[in-house]
Amino acid sequence: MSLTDLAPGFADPVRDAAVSFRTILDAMARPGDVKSLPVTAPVPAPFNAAAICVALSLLDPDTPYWLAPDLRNDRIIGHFSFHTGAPFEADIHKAQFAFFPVADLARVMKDLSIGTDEYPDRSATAIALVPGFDSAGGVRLAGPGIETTCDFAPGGMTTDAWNALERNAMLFPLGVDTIFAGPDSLAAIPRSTRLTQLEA
Amino acid sequence: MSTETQDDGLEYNFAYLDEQTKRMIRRALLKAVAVPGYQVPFAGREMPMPYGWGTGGIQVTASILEPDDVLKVIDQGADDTTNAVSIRKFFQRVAGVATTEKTEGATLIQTRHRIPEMPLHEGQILVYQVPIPEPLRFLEPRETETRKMHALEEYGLMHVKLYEDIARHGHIATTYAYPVKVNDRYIMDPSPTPKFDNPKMNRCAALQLFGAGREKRIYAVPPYTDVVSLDFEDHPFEIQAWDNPCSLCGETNSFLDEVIMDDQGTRMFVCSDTDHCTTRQQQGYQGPGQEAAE
Repeated sequence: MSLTDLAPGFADPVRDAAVSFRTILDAMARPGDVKSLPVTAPVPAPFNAAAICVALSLLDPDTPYWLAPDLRNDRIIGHFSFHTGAPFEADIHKAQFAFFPVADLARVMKDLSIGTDEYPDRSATAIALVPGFDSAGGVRLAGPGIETTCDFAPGGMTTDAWNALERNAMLFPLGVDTIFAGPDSLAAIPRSTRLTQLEA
Repeated sequence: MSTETQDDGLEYNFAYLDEQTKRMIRRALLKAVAVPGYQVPFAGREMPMPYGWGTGGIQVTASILEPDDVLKVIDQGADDTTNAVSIRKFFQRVAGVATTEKTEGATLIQTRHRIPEMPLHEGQILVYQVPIPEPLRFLEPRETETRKMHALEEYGLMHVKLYEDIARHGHIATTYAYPVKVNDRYIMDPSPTPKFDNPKMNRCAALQLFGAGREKRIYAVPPYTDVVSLDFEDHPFEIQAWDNPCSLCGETNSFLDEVIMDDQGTRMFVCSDTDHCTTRQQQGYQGPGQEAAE
């Protein structure tokens, strides 16, 4: 891949990273609450805008990241390498961030690092690429960050995928924190959130 | 984006910290929010002020600040004391953000040792400056041990400490940095806020972030999270109460500071939250001190 193939990153890297991070922080602090992206950066295929925002705001040379086979190509790896300096990690167990299509969620969750009893923060953050947030069914969320309950139905989630997230929540305080990245918005389910599946 | 300063021509990156430091702190913050009350280690930087002046809170604020934020800084409830004034000026200069003394109008509030009297709302973030983040530190000095105690949820020692208070004084004598249990899992130091403020942390609508610069720890309490002050059935948790209202605004339900007025021992009790007190006085409320002066 040559330099001319590279897509630009954030237009204003400092400001755009700051406002993107606040959106991610807000999403993590209010699970299931879908937040619009405050900025967009050019999106190399097959990523989407929210996943790029997360990558450009959080990755750097200290954070090995993993890509699902469907998302893995030279263009993406080159894009992340140029704009963030983050190393691609082929071994999913060692990745701090994992990007994958939502269809892979159930499979990916069981391989990600969940941290240790003494350092539960040393766990991976999962970024699931979803088509949108207005699907039928879904889950009812409760726990820290949610006043009463919150219904959440990102597209592409299967019963298996929700089961994987339920199992993840049972590991608390260990576990993976999941960001759902859509075409123009994002939401999160940290490990502290309790899930109840709803009928579709 | 950077902020040009008027006086010396020096240019800083937005909010002082370099971008990689901010990303490191931002990642720690996300983990802190995901595990409420757990202390996340972070690579704390030296800041252009000594440890003990709020370097942890400042690093958290610098990492979450965005250009549209309206920043309020309080020190023991007051907007106009040294620590608050210098931190506010610091961010005006290195980030160019708007500042306010009004609790209601602020999007980001950095605090040393108090929570504003006015209930916080959903759009706000409260950043605490924390000197010693480990609630078990004075009971067990070894970090390796306290870390294990948190991992095993082994908190009997803390209850023994509170019990010893009762055995010696007849009541729980801890009045500040009163230990709390967050989300029914981790015991957390609420920073040296008076225990009067502990109930405000419980199910607060705002996000609460804690930064300890010297000890290099970050922890968090997400909105609407249970924060329970430890106690015993026969010695329930109680907050401080005063015999008199605030001398200036007459408030009976706020945390009061004792002010010595002269060398005859005359005392006055006034609200520690200066914005709360001023707002009430503007609304026409008067305390006994004001009435006597007229």
